[in-house]
Amino acid sequence: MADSLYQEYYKFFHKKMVWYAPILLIPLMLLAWLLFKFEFSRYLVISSFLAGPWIEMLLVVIGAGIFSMEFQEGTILTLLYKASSKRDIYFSKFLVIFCYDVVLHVIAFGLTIVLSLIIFPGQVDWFAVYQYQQPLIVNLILTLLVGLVASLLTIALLFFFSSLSKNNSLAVVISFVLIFMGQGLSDNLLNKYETFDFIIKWNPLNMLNLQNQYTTYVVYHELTQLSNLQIIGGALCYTLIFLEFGYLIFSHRKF
Amino acid sequence: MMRNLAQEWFKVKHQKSFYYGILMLFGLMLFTVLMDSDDQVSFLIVQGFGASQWIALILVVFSANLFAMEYQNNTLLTLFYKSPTKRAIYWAKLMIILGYSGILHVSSISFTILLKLFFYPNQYHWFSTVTGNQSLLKTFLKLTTINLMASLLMISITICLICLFKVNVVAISIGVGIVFLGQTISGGLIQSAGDLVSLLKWNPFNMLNLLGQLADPSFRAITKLNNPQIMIGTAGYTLLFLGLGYRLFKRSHN
Repeated sequence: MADSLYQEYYKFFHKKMVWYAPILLIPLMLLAWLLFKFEFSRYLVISSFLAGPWIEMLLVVIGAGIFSMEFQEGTILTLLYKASSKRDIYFSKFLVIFCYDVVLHVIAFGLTIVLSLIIFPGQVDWFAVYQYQQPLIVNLILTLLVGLVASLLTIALLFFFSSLSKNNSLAVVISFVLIFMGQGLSDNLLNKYETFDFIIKWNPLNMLNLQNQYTTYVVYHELTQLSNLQIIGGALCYTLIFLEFGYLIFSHRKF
Repeated sequence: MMRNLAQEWFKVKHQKSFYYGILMLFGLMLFTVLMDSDDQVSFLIVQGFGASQWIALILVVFSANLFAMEYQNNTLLTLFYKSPTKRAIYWAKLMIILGYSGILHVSSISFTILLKLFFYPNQYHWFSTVTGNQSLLKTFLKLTTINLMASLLMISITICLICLFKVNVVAISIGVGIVFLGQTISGGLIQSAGDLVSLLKWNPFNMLNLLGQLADPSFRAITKLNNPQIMIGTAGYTLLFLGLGYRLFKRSHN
């Protein structure tokens, strides 16, 4: 396991895209400011300039490359031969992306503070009470942690779709469609079939609402019919389920 | 030129993603049907259940793959060497993409008819005039034909991106991002522009609103352009990006 982990870290951090992504966060967060200029500045801060969705998109782009890189460069057979087990390969890839995810969230936290100091210097009171009877800065940190959980779900879905196909285009497109439209689909399903609420509200796409629900609880609670803890629990469970399914597909494919 | 065309057709025909693209179109249209809200169904039908967006997505992936195939499999030099001019290669690829776009549009017509028969058999008759003053069928066919030309804008942007980055994933991600977010970004820009509106309203992302504006005239408030202007803008930017893509393709090396 340690060998696989070291290998994956080496491969990962020698890719150029991995180093460009944090720099890309800056214009993306500025774009969020542009789009939401007329909202409250505290909303921008608490959602860290929409860093949640942006980080998810960057992770999809980089993560899709992780599997397809093996297939396209022809290193998949050597990798399988040299590693102790397929489980090691799969989960060390996941661990590497998870660590990168954490790093990106920490960078987003720093960037949020810097950007908000530059853009609206006097207007944001970091210790005023905002939501959940907590000061703004605690809200920011907790939202980022919650965003970490949500992005884990996206990564699990991405791994699941990447294991299915050799070409990474399919995984990228499906993941993007899910990021943008997954919540909408689940919301519409819930609206149309209200009598089956108690089953439909646990569908995996509903868990993608996690970040939005945490920042604006009142609005989203109606939609999702789940409390915060339930969504977090559901997201973690589905993450494990999709990771397991992805692993099963990966281990049974013939290369 | 004919030989280039035959080569490209051979390459495309032997890829499975050719057929998966059409399947995905059906899947995505089905997805849209499940996602509908009852008061917008007539607009959805007229726009082919979001076919313009899904076709744009599939074309982004298809055209990115067509060009990236050469870069990533090191066949670029052989391709350049073996054909009379680089322009012929570029046009051959473009024509294949246009052909595929035509196939996707025809499929979207048949899929829309099928889906409507299945989900709304007795409502929204094809010859009713719910939207505007033409029958549903006529508006639908008109919009699909116009989309054939409007999708060319997205294709040309993708070709520029792939010739610039040479990596499949990056071009596809940016292309998909533009398909989903382009209209929102342009909307945000125009809203926060103030005095620069008369300049900013000509930004290329605003041209993506073409089909929406033709289907629903109230879009005019968002785009700040009238119908002829947005059509000229789309055509202009398409030609610009096609030319730019050709330049980038000509100068590319392995």
